[in-house]
Amino acid sequence: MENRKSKLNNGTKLTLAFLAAVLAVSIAFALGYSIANLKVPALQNSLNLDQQTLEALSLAATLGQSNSSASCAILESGTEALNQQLQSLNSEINAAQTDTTYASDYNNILQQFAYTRLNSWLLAQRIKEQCHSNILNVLMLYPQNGCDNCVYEGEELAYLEQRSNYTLVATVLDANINISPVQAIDRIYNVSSYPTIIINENSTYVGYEDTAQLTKTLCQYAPSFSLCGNVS
Amino acid sequence: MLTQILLEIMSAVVLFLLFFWLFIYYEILNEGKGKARVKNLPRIAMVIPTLFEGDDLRLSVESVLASDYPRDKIKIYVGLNKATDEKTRRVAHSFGRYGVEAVDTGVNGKAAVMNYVLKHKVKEEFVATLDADSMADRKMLRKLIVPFSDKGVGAVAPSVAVYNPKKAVQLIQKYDYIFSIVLRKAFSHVGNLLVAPGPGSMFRLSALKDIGYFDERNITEDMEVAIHLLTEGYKVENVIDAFSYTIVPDKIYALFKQRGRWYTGFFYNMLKYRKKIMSKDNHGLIDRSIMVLIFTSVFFSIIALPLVGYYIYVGISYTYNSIANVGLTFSLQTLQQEIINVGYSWSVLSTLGILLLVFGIYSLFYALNGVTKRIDAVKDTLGIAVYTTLFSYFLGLTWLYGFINGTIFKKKVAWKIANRN
Repeated sequence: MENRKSKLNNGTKLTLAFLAAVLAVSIAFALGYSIANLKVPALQNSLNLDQQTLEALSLAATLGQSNSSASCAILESGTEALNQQLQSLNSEINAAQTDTTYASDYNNILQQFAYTRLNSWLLAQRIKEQCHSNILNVLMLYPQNGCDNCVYEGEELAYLEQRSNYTLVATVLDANINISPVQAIDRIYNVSSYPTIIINENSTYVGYEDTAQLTKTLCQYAPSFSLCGNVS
Repeated sequence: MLTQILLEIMSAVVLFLLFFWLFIYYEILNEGKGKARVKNLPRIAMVIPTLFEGDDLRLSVESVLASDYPRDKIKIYVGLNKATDEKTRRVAHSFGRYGVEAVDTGVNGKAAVMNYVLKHKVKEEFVATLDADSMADRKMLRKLIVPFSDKGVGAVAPSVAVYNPKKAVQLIQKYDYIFSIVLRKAFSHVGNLLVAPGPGSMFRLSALKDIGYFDERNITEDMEVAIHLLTEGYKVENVIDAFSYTIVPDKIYALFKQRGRWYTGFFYNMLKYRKKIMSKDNHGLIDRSIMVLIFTSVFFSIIALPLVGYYIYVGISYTYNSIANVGLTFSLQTLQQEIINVGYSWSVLSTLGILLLVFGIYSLFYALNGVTKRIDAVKDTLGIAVYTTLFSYFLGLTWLYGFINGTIFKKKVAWKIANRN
C-alpha cells in the first residue's frame, strides 16, 4: 500500500515536471525561432542601404564625367568605402545562412547581393578608367563547395586591401549563385574553373593562391603597391 | 541541414532534461528540509571495511566516535581484509580501548568483508557503512536514522562531499560531488536513487538479509545493493543535509580509473537487473520512465563528447589557418566583424545552446548555494567554468569508457586489490 501510494505520488510529480520541462523547451524553441528570423530583415535593410550608396556613387560618376580631380577624389574614396561596406555585408550574409521561414527571402538577398557586388565591381572599373586612378580592381569567383582554402584567399584579399597604399577593390562572389551575369563573366574572361581571380577586367588567374602568390600577382599590376617591396 | 536538425534535437533533449531535474529540485526545496528527529534512537552498528588505508582509517573511526549519536548506541566494527597491511591493522586495534572491534575476516574484498561482519557480528537492526578513507559528519547518523520510521525504507544515503581538497584535481571534484548530491536527492525524490554510497549509507539489516547482502563479485557493490533493494520493493532514500566526507584521488589517472570503475559498474548492474526492471509484473520500485531519462542523459553525455571535440577542432583549425595566412594583427582587427557575424549566424540552435549554458550554470550555482550555503564569487565561478568545460568533457570520456567496458566487452566487474581506488 505504501509502495503504491509512493508510485502514485511519483507519477504526479513526474508528469508535472515533464509537462513543465516540455513547456520550457517549447518556449525556448519559439524564442530561438523568433530571434533567428530577425536577421533576414536586418540584412535586407543593410543591403538596401548599400544599394542606395551604390546608386548615389554611380550617379556621381555619371555627373562627374569632366574628370575633375575633386570629383575623382570623391569617387575613389566612395568606391573604397562602399567596398568595405559590401565586404562586411558579405561576411554577415554568409554567417546568416538560414533554414527558417525566411529561407526564400534569404536566397533572394543572396541574388540581390550578387548583382550589387557585380555592379560595384563594374563601377570601380568605370571610375578607374574615367579618373585614370590607381584602383586595383579584383573580382574573385569561388565555388560554393569543394574549396576549403577559398575562405582564406578571400581573407587574404581583405588583408591586402587594408595593408596596401593602393585602392584595392576586391569583389568576392559565390560563382555557383544562379544568376546569368556570372555565366556571362565565365564566357567573357575564359573562366574554366573556380576559384578564379580577374584583375582589372583584363587578366584571369585560375586556381587557389596563397598570400605570397597573391601579392606577387597583384604586384604585376601595381608596382608601387606598398607590399611589393617584399616580393621577389 | 541534417546535422543542424540533429544538433537542435539533441540540445532540446538536453535542455528538457535540465529543466526536468531543476523542477524536481525546486519541488524538493519547496517541501522544506525535514527537521524530524527520532526520540528513541535505536542501537546501530557501524561497519568500516579497510584495506591499506593506514592513518586515513584513524580519521574515519574518530569521526564516528565524535558523532552526536549516543555513544552507547553505536557499535563500531572495523572489518580487516585478509590482505590488510600491518600498519592499518595496528590503527584498527588501537581503537580497542574505545570499544571499537577490529574483525579479522580472513577474506578479501570490500563487499565480502562487510558481509562477513554483517553475518557474524552485527545484531543491530540498523547498520551504517563507512569507507575507511571517508569521515562521517557529527550529525550524520542522527539524520540518516529518521527515514527508517517508514518500514518500507531499506537504505538511506547521505550527501557525500570532498574532504579537504588541496590539489586542482581534488578541487574540481568538489563541484562534481556537490552536483551529485543534488542529483541524488532528485533521484531519491522520484524513487530511483540507484546508489547507496560507501561513505556513510545506512541500511535496515533485515532488508540486506532479504536480498542476500552485498554482491561480493561486484566492485560497485554500493550501486548494486541500492538497485537490488529497489527491485525487491525497498525504498532507497537520501537525506541531503546528512553529510559524509571522502578523500578523493589527487591524480587525473587515478580519478579516471575510479570513475571508469564506477561507470562500468553502472552499465554492468543495469544489464544485471534489466529483466527485473523491465518486467511488467515486478514489484520493485524502479520507475521505468525515470530510467529512460537517466539513460538518455548518459547517452547524450557520451555522444556530446566527439561532437564537442569536432567543433573544437574545427574552431582551432580555422583560427590557426587564418592567423597563418594573414597574421595575428589582422585576425584581431577582424574580430569585431566576427562578433557581429555571430549575431547574424544566430539560429534556434544558438538559442538552445545559450539557454543550456545559462540554465546549466544557474543550476550549478543554485546547487552549490543549496549545499554549501555560501558562494565565493571568484573561486566558485572559476571552478564551475573548469567543471563545465574540461571536467564535463572528462566525464563524457569516462562514461564512454564505462559503457564500452560494461556492455560491449562485458568486463567482469570483480574485486581486485590493485584496482581499488
